[in-house]
Amino acid sequence: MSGGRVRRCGARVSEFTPALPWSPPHHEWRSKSTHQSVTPYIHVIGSQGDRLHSQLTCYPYHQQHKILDGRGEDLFCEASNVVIDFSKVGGTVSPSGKPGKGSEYLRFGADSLLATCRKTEHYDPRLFMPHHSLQMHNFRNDFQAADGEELVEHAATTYLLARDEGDHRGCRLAFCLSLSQSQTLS
Amino acid sequence: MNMFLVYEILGLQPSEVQVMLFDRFADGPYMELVRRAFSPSHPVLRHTHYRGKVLFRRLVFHLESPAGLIFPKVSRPGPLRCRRTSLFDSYRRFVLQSFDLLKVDPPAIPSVTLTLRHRTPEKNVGRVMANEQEVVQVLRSGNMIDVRVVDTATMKFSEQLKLIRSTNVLIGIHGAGLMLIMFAAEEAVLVEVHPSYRQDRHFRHAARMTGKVYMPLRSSSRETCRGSSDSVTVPIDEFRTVVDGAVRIAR
Repeated sequence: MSGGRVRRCGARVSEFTPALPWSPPHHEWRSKSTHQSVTPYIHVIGSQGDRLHSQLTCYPYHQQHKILDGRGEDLFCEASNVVIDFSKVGGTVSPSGKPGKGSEYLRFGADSLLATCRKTEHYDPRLFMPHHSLQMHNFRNDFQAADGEELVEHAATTYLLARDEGDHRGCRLAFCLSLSQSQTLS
Repeated sequence: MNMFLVYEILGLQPSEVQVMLFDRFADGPYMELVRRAFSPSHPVLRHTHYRGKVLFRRLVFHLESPAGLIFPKVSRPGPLRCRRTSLFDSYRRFVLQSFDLLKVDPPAIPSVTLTLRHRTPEKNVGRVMANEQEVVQVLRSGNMIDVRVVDTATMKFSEQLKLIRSTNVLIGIHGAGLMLIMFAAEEAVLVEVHPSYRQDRHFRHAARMTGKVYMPLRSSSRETCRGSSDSVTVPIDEFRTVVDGAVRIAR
């Protein structure tokens, strides 16, 4: 601790103000002591489709320590009235429980994510995060249900959770053998 | 914590949300946390639950961020010199409330928990304590303290949380399990034994950002390796002194 004075960590780590009202499509989320903000970024506006009225809104989230590091934003999204075609979603749980790098996520075939909306000028598939990008590369926004086609409806809000377990391991053999203590402490 | 952020920003009520795992990882130790805190009224699904086209009325795509908040770069260029952040505090409250453990009185006498990891034929774990018996003996020789020695890898998450909530001195070797310090009793102390090759920043950050006291103890002897796992020897005299200090703080 410096100078005997206790300082909070808001200058370096995101602070948090819970239970703020949220009113899309434009809202800024910040606490008094930081520059944390969340603002809609990609906005796909619903149009009258065959049955659906879809919308996809994405929000950049810039962590305070990443701002200080000069690193970019992260992104999360929410959608309403969208269809996932699970016959085009593949991948099984890794036999080891921990899939190798590059194969952590599911596979998505063409048109596996469907909606009826038009893309706005903000739409840019390069902005999605790695796990989401795989899915959004197969996003079709002009979906029309075939005659007589019935869709199963999932009413509850669904959170698609793709985990990043990280690669933090203990001692690597080469590491232990080759580096001296002074090197590792530098 | 990223999931918590998304819930708060979008105003999601956990009781109204169903989580679908959208990756190839096994369920893992935190599945109980996901279920109880984020999807308490609906079972957690995998994508294999459905086969054809499914219409989702509201779908949320996760905020994945590989940037861990306790990584040393958070405090670059020096160690973190501040204490507490509302982000950690809020997440801590959220999780403890989900497990009905928020309103728990601190233990009446210092409650010391030593977390150990053990290699098994199935898993060659990251870091193990080379002189585990000596360390346990030191702790058992103390008086007016309650000592628990556990391998959290063998416990359900709810059991870990309950144990740690009644702990005010947590001791362990540098590793992800020490993140549990954020759920410990108020005014708790983290004693981290860290191998010679690791910085003492990660869990210093975790402890400080949740208002806990951090006491590092560096192992001065070289680690021995078995594959990707290493054995860390705790300097026993220093350990005795550090634990004495930690217990006095917690008392």
